Amino acid sequence: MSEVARKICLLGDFGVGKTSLVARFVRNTFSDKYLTTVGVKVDSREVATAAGPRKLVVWDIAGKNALDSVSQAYIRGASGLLLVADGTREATLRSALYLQVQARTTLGEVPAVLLVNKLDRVDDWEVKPATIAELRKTLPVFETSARTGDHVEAAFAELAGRLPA
Amino acid sequence: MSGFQRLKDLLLDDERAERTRVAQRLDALEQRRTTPDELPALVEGAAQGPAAARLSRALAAPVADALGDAVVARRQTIVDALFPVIGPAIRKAIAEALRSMVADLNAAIESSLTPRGLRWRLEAWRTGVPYAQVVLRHTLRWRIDHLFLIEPGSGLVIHRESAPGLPDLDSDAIAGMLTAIGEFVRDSVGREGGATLGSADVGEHLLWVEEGPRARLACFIRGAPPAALRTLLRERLERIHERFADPMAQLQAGAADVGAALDAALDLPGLESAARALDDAPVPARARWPAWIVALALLVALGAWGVHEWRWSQRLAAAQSTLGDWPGLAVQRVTREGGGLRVRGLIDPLADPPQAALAALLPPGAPLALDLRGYIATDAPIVERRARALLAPPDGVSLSFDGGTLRLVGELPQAERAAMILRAGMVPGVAAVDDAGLVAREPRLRAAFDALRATVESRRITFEGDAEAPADAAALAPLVDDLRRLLAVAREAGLSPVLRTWGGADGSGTAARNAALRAARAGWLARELSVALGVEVFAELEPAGDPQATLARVAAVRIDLGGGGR
Repeated sequence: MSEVARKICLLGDFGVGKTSLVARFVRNTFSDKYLTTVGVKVDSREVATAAGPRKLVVWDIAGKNALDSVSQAYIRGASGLLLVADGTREATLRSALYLQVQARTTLGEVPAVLLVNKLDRVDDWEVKPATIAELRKTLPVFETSARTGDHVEAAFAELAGRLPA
Repeated sequence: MSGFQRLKDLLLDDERAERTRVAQRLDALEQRRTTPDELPALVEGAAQGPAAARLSRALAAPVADALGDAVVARRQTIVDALFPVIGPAIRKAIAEALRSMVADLNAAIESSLTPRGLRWRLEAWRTGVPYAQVVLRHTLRWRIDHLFLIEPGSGLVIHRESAPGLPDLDSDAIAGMLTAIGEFVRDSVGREGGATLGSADVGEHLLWVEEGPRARLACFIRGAPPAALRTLLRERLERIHERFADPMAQLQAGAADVGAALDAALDLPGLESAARALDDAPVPARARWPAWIVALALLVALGAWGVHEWRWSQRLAAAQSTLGDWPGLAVQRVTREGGGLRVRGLIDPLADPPQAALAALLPPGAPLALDLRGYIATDAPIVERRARALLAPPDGVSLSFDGGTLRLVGELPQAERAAMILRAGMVPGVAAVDDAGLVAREPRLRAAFDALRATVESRRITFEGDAEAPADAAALAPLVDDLRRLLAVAREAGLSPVLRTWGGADGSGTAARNAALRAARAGWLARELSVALGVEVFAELEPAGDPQATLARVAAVRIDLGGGGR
C-alpha cells in the first residue's frame, strides 16, 4: 500500500476551464459526460513535492457560482482546493472566491490555490494585474493556460506542497 | 528626394513594411495551400509522425459524424463493407455461447445422477428454485476482482486488494467516482431516507457496496457470487470498525501496522474461500427444524389421509361384496359421496332392503343414499319368494326353487292341484315346474272309504233268541266308531253315502215271525245309529244281493253311494 492519496477539488464558475486544466494535468480516467450527469469527474495523478511524491485525487466539480447540497457532499474530505477563474471574465474571479468561502463551511481552513486561467488570451483579460497582486497577499495565484499548459503543473505542485503531511 | 516624399516615407514607412510582411505571408500561405491531391499524402505523413495522436483526436469527431451520415444515406454500402467482418464476429460469439452452454449442460448431466446432483435436486425442491438455476449457481465460477475500503466522506481509498494478474487501475479515481455516484444517487433518489447504492452491474462486474460509518466496502465481483458473500462482506466491515476507530486518520498519521492489519482484516483469498465454504455448507439445524416440523406434519397428515382412505376402500369393498350377494339387488355403482356412500342399481320389490346392512358398515352418522329402481329378479330366493306369494300353497303343500325349476310337493284336491300347476308355470323366473311330488287327494280318500265301508258292512250285531235288541248295547260301539270315520272320509272325499240297516233271524220260527223279527232288529239298529251318528239311517228287510245272510240272529249295516257309488 502506497502513501494515502489526497483529495483536492476544483471549484470555479461555468466555462472557466476547470476540465481543460484537469485534462492537461492528469490522464483522463473517466469520460467528461460524468460532469453533466453526476456533476463531478474524478481523476488522479502523482505529483512530486519537496516532501516526496504525493498522489492527488482531483475532483472536478461541475461549474457553478455556488455550492448546492450535492456539491457540498462532493467536496467533503478534500485536503485542498483549486479555485479557478477566467481572466477574461472578472466575475468568475468573484465566483471562485465566493466558492472558497462556501467550501470553508464544510471543510474548514484548507490550503487553496487560485488559478486565473486563459493566459493565452491575456490581451482580453478583464482581471487587472493589480487585482492579482492584491490577491497574492492572501493566497497563491497562478496565471495559467490550459491550452498551452503554462503554469498548470506549477499550480498543482504548489497545492500539493501545501497539503498537510 | 523631395521633402514631401521624405515626410511620406516617415509617416508611412511602418505601414509599408507591415504591408510587405502581410504580402509575403500571403504568398507563403498561397504556396502552402493544399490541394485534394496532396491531402492523402499529408494525412499519411501526419499519421506516421509525432502528431499522429493529435490527428486521431482531430479526426475522431468528423469521422464518426461521416460514418453516421453514411449509415443513413448509404446503408447497403456500409452493410456490404461490414459483411466480411460481422459474419465471423457473429459466428465467434455464437460459438462461444454454444461452448459455454454445452459446458453447462455437461455439468448438469454429469451431476444429475451423482450424490451432489441429488443434493442439488433436493435443494431445488426445498427452495423452489429451478434445478437448472441451482446447477448454474453451483457450477458458475465467480471471483472477487477488486476490494476497496473507502472513506465515505472523501471517497479516498483506505485500502485496496485486487486479484492477481489483473491490469492496474486507478483505484483512487474509481473510488472517488463511486463515492460521487453514491452521493448523487442518495441526493437524487434517497433524499433524506438514507438510501444508498447497494449494488450495481458494471460491465462484466457485479458491484456490491457495504456502508459503514467510517468506511465503505466496495467489492467488484466477476460471475454470480453466493448470497453468503454479502454476509461475509458485512462481517468484514464490522470487524474493521471494531478494530480501527478511524482507519483513514490512522493511515494518514502514518501508523505502520495499519496497512498490514487491514490486509489481514480484508483477506481477499480468505473471503472467497469462506464464501464458497458457506455456500456449500448444509443449512444449519436452527434453520432446518421448521422445515422438519412441516415435513413431519405433512407426513402425519399424509399417514392419516392414507389410513382414512384405506378404511374407506375397505368399506367400499365390503359394501360391494355385501350388495353383490344381496338377493334381488343388481348394483351398478357404489361410490363415496359427501362423506358417505351412494348406491346406484336395481332392486326387486320382494328383496330385503339393504339399508340396515350398509349402515352397519359405515361410521356413525355417515350419509347413505340409495338410487334404486325396480326390476324383476331371477335370483332363486326371490323367485321362490315370488312363487309363494303368487301360489299361496295351503298347508300340506311345499315348494322349492332351484336351477330354474319350481318343485311342488304335497296333496291337493284334484282341481286345486291342476290350478296350482298351471299358475306355477306363470311365475316370473320359473322355467319349469316339477309337480311329481304334488298328488291328488281323491283316490286316497276313496280307498280309505272303501276299506271302512268293507269293515262296516262286515260287522254284525248279534241277538239272543228272539230278542229285538242285543243283550249288550256296548257291542254297538265299534260299529259306531267305524261309521264315524267313514262319514268323515266321505265328507272329505265329497261322497254322499246312504246308511241302511238290515236284520236277520234264524229259521226256527215262522216266516212271519222271522220277518217281523228281522224288521224289528233292522229298525232297532237304524234308530241306534241315527241317534249315535246324527244322520238318517234307513232300515231294510234284507241285505241286497245275499239273502242267506239274514238267516242268523244278527243285524248289520249296508252302505249305498248315490250316483253309482258302488
